[in-house]
Amino acid sequence: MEKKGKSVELISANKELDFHKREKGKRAAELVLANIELQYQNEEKEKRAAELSLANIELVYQNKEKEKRASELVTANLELAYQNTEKEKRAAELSLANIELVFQNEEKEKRAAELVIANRELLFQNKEKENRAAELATANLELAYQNGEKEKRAAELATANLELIYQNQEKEKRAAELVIANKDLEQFAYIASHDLQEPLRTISNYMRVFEEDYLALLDDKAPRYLLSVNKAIGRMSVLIKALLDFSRLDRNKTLVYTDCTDLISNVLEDLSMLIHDSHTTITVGPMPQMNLYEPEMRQVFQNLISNAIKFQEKDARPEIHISAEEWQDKWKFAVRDNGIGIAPAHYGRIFEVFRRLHSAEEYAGNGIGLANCKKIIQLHKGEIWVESIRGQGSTFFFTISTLSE
Amino acid sequence: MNTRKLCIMLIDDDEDDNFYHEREILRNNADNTVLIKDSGRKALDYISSDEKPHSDLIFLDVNMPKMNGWEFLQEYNLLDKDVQSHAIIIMLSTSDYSADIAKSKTWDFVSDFITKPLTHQKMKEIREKYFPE
Repeated sequence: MEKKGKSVELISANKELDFHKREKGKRAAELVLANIELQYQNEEKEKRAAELSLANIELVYQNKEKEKRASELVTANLELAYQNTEKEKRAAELSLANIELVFQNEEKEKRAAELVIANRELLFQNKEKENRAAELATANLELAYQNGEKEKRAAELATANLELIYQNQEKEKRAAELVIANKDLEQFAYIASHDLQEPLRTISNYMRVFEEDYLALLDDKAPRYLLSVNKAIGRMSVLIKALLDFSRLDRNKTLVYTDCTDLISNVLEDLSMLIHDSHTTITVGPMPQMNLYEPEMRQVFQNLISNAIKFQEKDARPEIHISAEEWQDKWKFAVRDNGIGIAPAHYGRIFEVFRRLHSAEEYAGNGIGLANCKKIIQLHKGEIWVESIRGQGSTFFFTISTLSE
Repeated sequence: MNTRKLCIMLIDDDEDDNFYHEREILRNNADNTVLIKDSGRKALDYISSDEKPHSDLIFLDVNMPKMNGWEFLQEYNLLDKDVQSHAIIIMLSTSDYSADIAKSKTWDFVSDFITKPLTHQKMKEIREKYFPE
C-alpha cells in the first residue's frame, strides 16, 4: 500500500512539473509582450516627464502665486479673525439683547392678553355708550324742545318784566307823590290843630271869666247851659290835642337801642293805678333788645294795654299777655286780652283816625289811640293788625323791622 | 301865704291871653304889678332902658309876629348881664311840643316852659318855686 501511494504522488508531481513547464513558456511569452509594453510605457513616461517638467515649471509659478495668495489670505485671515472677534462680541451683545427682547416679548404678550380683555370690556362699554348716546340723543331732542318752550316763556317773561318795570316806576312815582301829599297833610294837620288851639283857649278862658263874674247874676238854667259849652270845649280840646300829637309823630325821631322788657315794665309802672284798680293780671314773655323810637313805642304799648283793660265787660277781671317772637326778618309782638272782642268787619276801621266803635259814654277815649299805634308801627317799618273772637278777647299783633339810622 | 309883691311882664301879642293872664296873676296876689308888652321889641326897649319898675318875672310867648320868642331871647342874650339878672324868664306857649321845650333849655337864663293858659294855681306854684319867702 505505501508504494502504491508513493507512485500516485509521483505521477501528480510529474503532472505538476509539466504544468509548470508549460506555464513558464507562457510566462516568457508574456514577459516579451510585457517588455514591449514596458518599452512603450517608458517612452510614454519620458513624454510624460517632459510634460511634467513643463508642468513643474508651471507649478513653481503657481506655487509662488499661491504663496502670494497665501500671504494675502493670512492678512485677510487676520482681518477675518478680527472681524470674527467683533462679530462674537456683537453676537454676545445680540444674545443679551435677544434675551431682553424675549422678556419684552413675553411682557408684550401678557399685555396683549390684557389688552384683549380690556378691548372686550371697551367693546361692551362702547355698546353701552352707543345705547346711552341713543338715549341722550332722544333726551337732547326733548331738551331742545323744552329749551324752545323756555325761550318762548323767557320772551314772554321779558315782556311781562318790562310791563312790571313800567308799573313799578309808576307805583314809585305814585308813592313819592303820596309821601309828599302825606307830608302836606301832616303839616296841615299840625298847623290847623296848633292854630285851632288858640281861639279855643280864648273861648275857654272867657267862659271861666264869665262864670266867675256873672254866674251869680243868672237864673238856675244857666249853669246847665254853661256846663254843656264847657264839655264841648273840653272834648274839642282833647281832639285838637290828639290830632296835634298824631301829626307830630314822625317829626325829629331818633332811634334808641332799647330793652323791650324795660320799656314794658316802665309802661306798666305808669299804668299801675289803672292796673290795680281794674284787678288786671298782666304777664310778659321774653322780649328782644332792638333799635326803637322809644317814647313812641312806649305809647303803642300804653295804648294797647289800656285798651285791653278798657274794653271789658263790666266787673270782668282783665287778663293780658304780651309776647314777642322772631318772624321772618322782623320781630312780631302780640298783646292778647280776654275782653269784649271786635267783629271782623271792624278789623281795619279801628286803626283810622277818630274812628270809634262805641259812644264816649260807653267807653271813654279820643278815637286816635290805635291810629297813633298804626302810624308808630309804620315808622318802625312794620304792620299792625288784630285777630279777635267776639266775647272771648282780642289779640293785637304788630311787627317791627331791624332799623338803623 | 306868700305875699311878696311881684312885678311881672307879659310879652304876648294876644290881647285876650294878656287879659286873662293878668287877671289870674292879680288873683294870685292883687298887689302884683303886671307890665304888658305886645311885642318882643317893646319889651326889649323897656328892659334895656332900665326903666322902673324892673320885672321880677317875665312870661314870654313863643309864637308872635315880627319877633318871635326865640328871636327875643337872642337879643336879650346880648343885653348887659346886670340887666338880665333882674328877671326870671318863663316861656308861656300854646305848644307843649317837646322840640320847643328842648330848645328853651338851650338858654340858661330861661327857667321854665309852661303851656297856656296861665292860671292862678300855676302862678302859685311858680311863686313857691322861684320866689320862696
